[in-house]
Amino acid sequence: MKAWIASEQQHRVAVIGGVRTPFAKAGTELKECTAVHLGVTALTETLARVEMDGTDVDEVVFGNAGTPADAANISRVISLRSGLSESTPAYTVHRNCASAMEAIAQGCLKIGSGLAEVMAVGGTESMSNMPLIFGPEMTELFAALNFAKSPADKIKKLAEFRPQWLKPVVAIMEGLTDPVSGLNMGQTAEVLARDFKISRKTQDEYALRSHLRTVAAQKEGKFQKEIIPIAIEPDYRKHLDKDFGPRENQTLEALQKLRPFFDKENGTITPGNSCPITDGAVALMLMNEAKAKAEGREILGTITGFSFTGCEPKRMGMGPIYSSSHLLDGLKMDLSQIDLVELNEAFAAQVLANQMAFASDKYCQEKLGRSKALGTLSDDKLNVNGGAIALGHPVGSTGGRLVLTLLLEMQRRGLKRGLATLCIGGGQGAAFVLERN
Amino acid sequence: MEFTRDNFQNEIKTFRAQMKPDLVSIAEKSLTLEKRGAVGIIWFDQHEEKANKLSSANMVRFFELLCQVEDDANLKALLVISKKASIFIAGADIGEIRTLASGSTSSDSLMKLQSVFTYLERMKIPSVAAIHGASMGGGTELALACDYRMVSDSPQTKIGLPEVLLGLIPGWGGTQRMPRLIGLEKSLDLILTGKTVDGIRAKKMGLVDKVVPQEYLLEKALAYANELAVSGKKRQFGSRPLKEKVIGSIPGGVWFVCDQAKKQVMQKTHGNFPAPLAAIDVIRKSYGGSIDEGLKIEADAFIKLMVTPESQNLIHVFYLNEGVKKDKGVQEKITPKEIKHAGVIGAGVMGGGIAQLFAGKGVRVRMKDIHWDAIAKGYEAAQKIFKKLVDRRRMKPSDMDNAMARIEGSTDFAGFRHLDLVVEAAVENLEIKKNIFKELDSKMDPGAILATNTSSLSVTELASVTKHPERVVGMHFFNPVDKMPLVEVIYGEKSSPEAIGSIVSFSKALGKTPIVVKDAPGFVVNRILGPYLNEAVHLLMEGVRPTDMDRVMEKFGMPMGPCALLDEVGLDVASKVSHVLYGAFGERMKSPEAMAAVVTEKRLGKKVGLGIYRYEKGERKEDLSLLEVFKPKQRASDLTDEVIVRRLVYLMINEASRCVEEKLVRQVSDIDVGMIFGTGFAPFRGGLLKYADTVGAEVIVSDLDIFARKYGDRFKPSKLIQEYSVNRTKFYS
Repeated sequence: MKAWIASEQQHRVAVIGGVRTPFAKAGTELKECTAVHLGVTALTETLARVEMDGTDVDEVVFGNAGTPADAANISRVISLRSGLSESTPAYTVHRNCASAMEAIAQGCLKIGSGLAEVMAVGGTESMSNMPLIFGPEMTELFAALNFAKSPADKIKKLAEFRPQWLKPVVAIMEGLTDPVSGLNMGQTAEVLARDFKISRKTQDEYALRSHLRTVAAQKEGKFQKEIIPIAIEPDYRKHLDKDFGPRENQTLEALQKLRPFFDKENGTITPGNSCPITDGAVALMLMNEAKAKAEGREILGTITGFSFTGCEPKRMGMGPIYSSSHLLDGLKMDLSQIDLVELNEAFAAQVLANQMAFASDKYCQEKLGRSKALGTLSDDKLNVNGGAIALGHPVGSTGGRLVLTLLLEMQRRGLKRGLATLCIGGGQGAAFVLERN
Repeated sequence: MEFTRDNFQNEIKTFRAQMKPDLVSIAEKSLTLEKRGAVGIIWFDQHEEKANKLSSANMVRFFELLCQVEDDANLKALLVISKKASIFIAGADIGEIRTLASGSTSSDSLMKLQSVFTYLERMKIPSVAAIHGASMGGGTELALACDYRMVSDSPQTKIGLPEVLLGLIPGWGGTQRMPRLIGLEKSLDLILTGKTVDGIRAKKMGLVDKVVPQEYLLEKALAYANELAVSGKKRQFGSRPLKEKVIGSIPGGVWFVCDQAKKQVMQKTHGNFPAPLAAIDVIRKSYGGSIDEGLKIEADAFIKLMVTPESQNLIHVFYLNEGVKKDKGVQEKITPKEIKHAGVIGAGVMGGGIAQLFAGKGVRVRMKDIHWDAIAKGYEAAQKIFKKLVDRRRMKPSDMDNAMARIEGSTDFAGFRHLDLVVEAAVENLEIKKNIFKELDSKMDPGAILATNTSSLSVTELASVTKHPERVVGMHFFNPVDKMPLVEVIYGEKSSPEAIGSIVSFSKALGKTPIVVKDAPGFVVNRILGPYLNEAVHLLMEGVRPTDMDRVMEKFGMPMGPCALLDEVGLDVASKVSHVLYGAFGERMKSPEAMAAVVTEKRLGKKVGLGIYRYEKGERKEDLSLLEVFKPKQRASDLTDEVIVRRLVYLMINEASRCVEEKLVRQVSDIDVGMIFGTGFAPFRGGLLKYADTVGAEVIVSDLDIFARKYGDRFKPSKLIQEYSVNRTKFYS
């Protein structure tokens, strides 16, 4: 699969605005907000900030991993509730952790080829509201009862019922397990920790840094520009105006006290050095660059290229290095030309493994067939405002946040080029390179 | 005289001969008979009008068509249906009732028309009414006289007997046939409230026999009529539900149910509305008896009601409302701007209420306030109102979610540039509002309308800080926004007709009742209420107990007494408005010092749980500690209930006459519309100035003179009302 390279397209794609809701750890502040409400909040504010209304958008694409039962094509619901015209089509994409990046990719494909000029893209996820589902026995019983012809048949069927069938399958746990490797996401991170011999302490130190950097960014007001406060369903009495997750008083000691979650005996991955499951939504407005310029719009950045690649499901955490390498090749670029990097923090071990692999001649030769290492992802370029370990990882939304956060930080620092990349459950990687003029 | 076809036909013939020929010819064009196989279809399609109505000419024509159907031996069933897009039959001709009531036309003619439906009911062949759209009053009575009713499932289909809202009762058999069809309790509910039901509810109640999709109504109704043509089956007022049987069989059962209904009506109306009481009386007397006897009782009661001032006043208000519906607000021919996306500045009680109203009517609204705490309150207030509608099944939960999603919160002006309208509902502070208007003016496209919801500040002055004062208007809503129908549309010196006309048209689209008012302190409604509320405080200081005062004013016909109203509005707010009015109009608007004392004591009204009254769990209680604030005198023996009413009401009339004199409104009736829809002023009195006409300017002036000598100059009659008194002129002349 080739990478998408802007210079090969008919039209260039500009990001002209975007905003996200605050992110909140699942089961906390936003637990009663539906994924639709989260998405609508992000999209309506984005529309307002770029001064567009219902008829200005050609299509809407949102990423969403845990489809709510009452909004199968959630993008369409978000689109209509956000006041977009009924004639504006909308579809939802699912590429696990890269769902929002896939939405952006769809926007690039449509604008790049000239099919569309304005694409509203993003991602939304309410991991608090992922359903509990009945196991197969119970589901079968319900079906059988539906088809039972006589009351006697029904009673017969009911007699087969066993109470343990009521034990629900937690959709979220199923969703976070890769059926091919049979490993839970945390277990794939344990594999990387072993591969690269990343100690528990190094991981915890990285997690601490994530919190400290995120809290510092919060305090500097950096996130204010990317966050729209949200009024909280169902009674709207409360609102949330900042991320609920980063811990100001996080200490290494506290992190070290946590017990490994996935491998209780020999493991190193704890809830403290992993990203928490989280609720939140992001929206971005993409526009044909020439059109944006003609309208005199502020351009946050343009999309230089993107790539999705596959890798070993068991080591899905290495996705970023595969996709980044592939994309840089396509762009004929060198890592040194990248000024800033957002690499999603699914697990501290996984970020650290990528960091080591990027700098390793051996890894790059063996796995990527390169002549030497990609280069160094130095700490002062990588995740400078912290990341998902502190902010959380609403699966369908994160890709959008990485791009938004990256662009705003590039703007702040006056930098030219940035890379946003993440690992995808099931063994894939996604990478976007963005530029500012 | 016995009811037979022949002697009835003769009577109708004489009746017809007396009618103007042009009316007869219109009726011939409006009602037509079509024969389709065994089915005779009577089509209603009022000539050159939007709505079908049952004028006497149409009733006579209808009867003639019934006879034609009977005379054709091939016709075995009758179908009655409308050709109008969203109306079956809107009811009797109210204009005709009005003329009848004022003249001396005998009840005779009405009785005759009532018999047309009796005739229909007793035809040998079965009949079906196929209803789509509004079926009101006489229309519903026609349908009830048919053997069967089929309705469309469209939300436009609304069936009801709203006669009580005009101070009348159903007079063409509604009080007889409805209880026979659906029972006593459900009938009382519909007849006493005048409320309407849609097709699905009507089916559930047993009011109709079949509900079908609107698109198939004609085909299905024809099929149904053809079936009946074969079977020839007439309706039997069938077996009643058990509950009805019990009520009917227990001695005094009907009396008991009627008595309960009467108590409820009395509680709601203080006996001010005779129509629902008369309806109960008719049903009580006739229920279970013969239909001929019942119809006679009904007709007698109708004729009595028709000439009551209450009915005539309610019909007057009905026409005022019709007038508002037609009134475009400006003389110039303009195309009203379509408002799709609006903004509200301030998410307080008013701002939140306005956002809820807009969102509920499908208008997206950006709600801006300084802090998100305030914005969340606005959201919460809106959601509460929608939730109530959902709980009462007036709204689907998904529609609530849709509506809530139309409200967008913001602390800055992002997204304001291209809005169609912004309504400013910030705190009542001139400097703050001026700054907001300056900012809005610079941020928004020149085509946008800038409105203020101010209740006391000058629109002209706010407009003066903008580069485009022509687009600045007042859009004054009343609290609570979701319940109060009135909107005062205020034109400043430079407001353009486009802006005014657009806001008038938008207000109507929101389901509100707009009146156009010139920019002057307090506009119309608050200005008239000002002296009334001040006077209430004077009366309290003179020893009148708040409960006594409120009781007499409720008896007069106000929805709540002035003391309760003060608490509801908030004494701080009332005091602020009063201050503005005092500044503008001087001594006559001066609020008693006690008012200031109440505010200092933090007795701000219902919102803080203590005002004139004390509030426990929302319930109003008299509060003795009020005496310490007011230190009232002993109530004078000549301060009778009657004097209390006159002091309060005549002050309002006096102020209203000044508004007329200053030409604040384009027509006198606008003041009455304002008072009825903005304050709930006794509609059965026809409005404040209609009431003044009833009492007579000379009586009012003479009382005001007496009050002025006794209680102070604030009662001095205005120039205009003195003139009227001398010339015996009426406000409605």
